[in-house]
Amino acid sequence: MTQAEFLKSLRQELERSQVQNISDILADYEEHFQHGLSKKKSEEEIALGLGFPSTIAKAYKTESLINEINHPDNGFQLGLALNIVTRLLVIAPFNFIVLFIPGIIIFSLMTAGWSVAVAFLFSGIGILSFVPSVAGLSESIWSIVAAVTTSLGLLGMACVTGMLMFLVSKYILLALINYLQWNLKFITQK
Amino acid sequence: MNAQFKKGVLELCVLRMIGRKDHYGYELVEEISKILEISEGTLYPILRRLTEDKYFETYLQESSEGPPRKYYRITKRGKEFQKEQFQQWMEFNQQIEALIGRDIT
Repeated sequence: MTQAEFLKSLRQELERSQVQNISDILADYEEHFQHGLSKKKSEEEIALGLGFPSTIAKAYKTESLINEINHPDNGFQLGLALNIVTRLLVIAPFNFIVLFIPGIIIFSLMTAGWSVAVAFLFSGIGILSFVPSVAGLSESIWSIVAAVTTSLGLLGMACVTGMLMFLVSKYILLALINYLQWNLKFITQK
Repeated sequence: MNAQFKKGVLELCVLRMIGRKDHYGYELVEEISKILEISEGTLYPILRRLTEDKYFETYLQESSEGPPRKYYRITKRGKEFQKEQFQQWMEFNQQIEALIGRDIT
């Protein structure tokens, strides 16, 4: 094989193997030929020493695969980042509608519920604190009994409401966490 | 010699040789093929990958005899890599020697 034949064949093989920087690679072999020629070797001899163009092209293919394995995330991460940003943008208006509007309603209901529980608690305590003064004013023991039982009743209501609100809050919070996790999964999945 | 076996060893040879002194491609190929039987053309892909990995850098130098030479010089990163590879090679050699012994028989 002459130099021209060798280089032409190598170019074709490299193109077929979809190797990059073909002209740079060919320049290396051209230089090799020139050095060989300057040492009084024949083109055929040099080409023979270099080996088959198909073997060489395969070697370049292998080397570029090795490179990909060693640096798998170059360029790829940029794609992933863009992907995540796109998903965030897609999910943002959706989140606004889902979280904001029902969020306000649920949040106000929860606040109301908790306020009721707290109101029960304080009115119970408040009435209890009136017991001594009521005892001084009235002769009847029944007014004290009435005050104490009303207070106990209110405290009981506070307990029940509080527990109920605790349960409701827990489930709403769990639902919120689930929803956020789903969000996260949607955003980060590849 | 087995082709895959040779490729790994060739990488180490190239790293060590260029680590010792700057070489241009033809000279490197010549020196190696004097000792090992290789297809000379398969050495350039190794040189290219190691250069792309920043283990080597290249520079062109005119010469009085013959065409300009593309020299390969080892980088700091390359030196570290070479040391690492060399140690691995020595360890590997010792391990294999422990298994197969030194005698041909």
